[in-house]
Amino acid sequence: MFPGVDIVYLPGALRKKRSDHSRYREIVFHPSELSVIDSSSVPEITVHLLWAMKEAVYKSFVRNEASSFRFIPHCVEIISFCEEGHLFMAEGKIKNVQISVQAEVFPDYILALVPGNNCEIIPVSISGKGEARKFLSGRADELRNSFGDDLLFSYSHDGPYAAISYCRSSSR
Amino acid sequence: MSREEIFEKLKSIIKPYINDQEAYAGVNESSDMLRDLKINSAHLVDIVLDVESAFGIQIDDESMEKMVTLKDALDIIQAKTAA
Repeated sequence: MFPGVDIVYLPGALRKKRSDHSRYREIVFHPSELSVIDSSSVPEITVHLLWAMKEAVYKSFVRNEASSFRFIPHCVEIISFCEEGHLFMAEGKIKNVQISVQAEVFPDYILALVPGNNCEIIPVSISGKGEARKFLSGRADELRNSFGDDLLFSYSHDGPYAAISYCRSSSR
Repeated sequence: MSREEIFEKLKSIIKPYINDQEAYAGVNESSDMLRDLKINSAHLVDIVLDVESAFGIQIDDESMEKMVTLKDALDIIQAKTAA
C-alpha cells in the first residue's frame, strides 16, 4: 500500500464550529460517521479526526490505483472506528476497497496515516502551500539520499506543521 | 445574473481561501482551484458552502467532483441558478 498522510492544524481548524452545522455534516460525512461524531465527548475534534482519516485513505488509494479523481469528502467512508489507547483506528472504504488508517490527536494537530509507514512531523515556519511543497520535496530528496531511491512518499501541510510519510516500494 | 456577475461574486468568495495573492491576481476561468490557486480540500468544502449560501443552490457530490477549474464552478452555478 502506498503511504497516505494528513495533518490538521487544530487552532486553525477549530475556528469554525462544524459538528452541528447541518449542511457541512451532509456534505462531508456519511451517517455512520455522524454517529461517531455525535457519540463523541469531543465532537469538534472528532470532525477533524475523521476528516484527516479520509484524506490519508484517499491519498494512499489514488497513488496505489494510479487514479486521478478529485477528493470529495463522501468518496471515503470511515468504518469500524475505535480507540486503542492513544490511537484511533479505523478502516476507510473507498470505491469498494478497504484501507486501514490510524490517527492520533496532539495538543496542536491531528495526524492520520495509513499504517506501516515511517512518518516525520516537521514544524514549518514558511507560509504558502507552494513553499511547503518545495520544502517537503527537499526533505524527500534527503531521505532518498539516505535510504535509497525506492522510497514512496505522501505529504501534508496545514498551518505551521508539515508531515511526510514514507515507505520502501518493496514493502508496499 | 450574467456570467460576468457570477464570476465576480465567485472571485470574492474564493479570495479569503487563497494565501498566494499573486495567484489570486492572475485568476481567470481556467484557473485550477487546487493546482493554480493552491486551495486545499478543506477550503473547497468552505467554498461550496459559501457558494450554496450566496446563490441559493445546492451542490451535490457529482458537481463537487467536477469543480476543478473556476469555469467548471461557473458552469455549475449558472446551470443551477437557471433551473
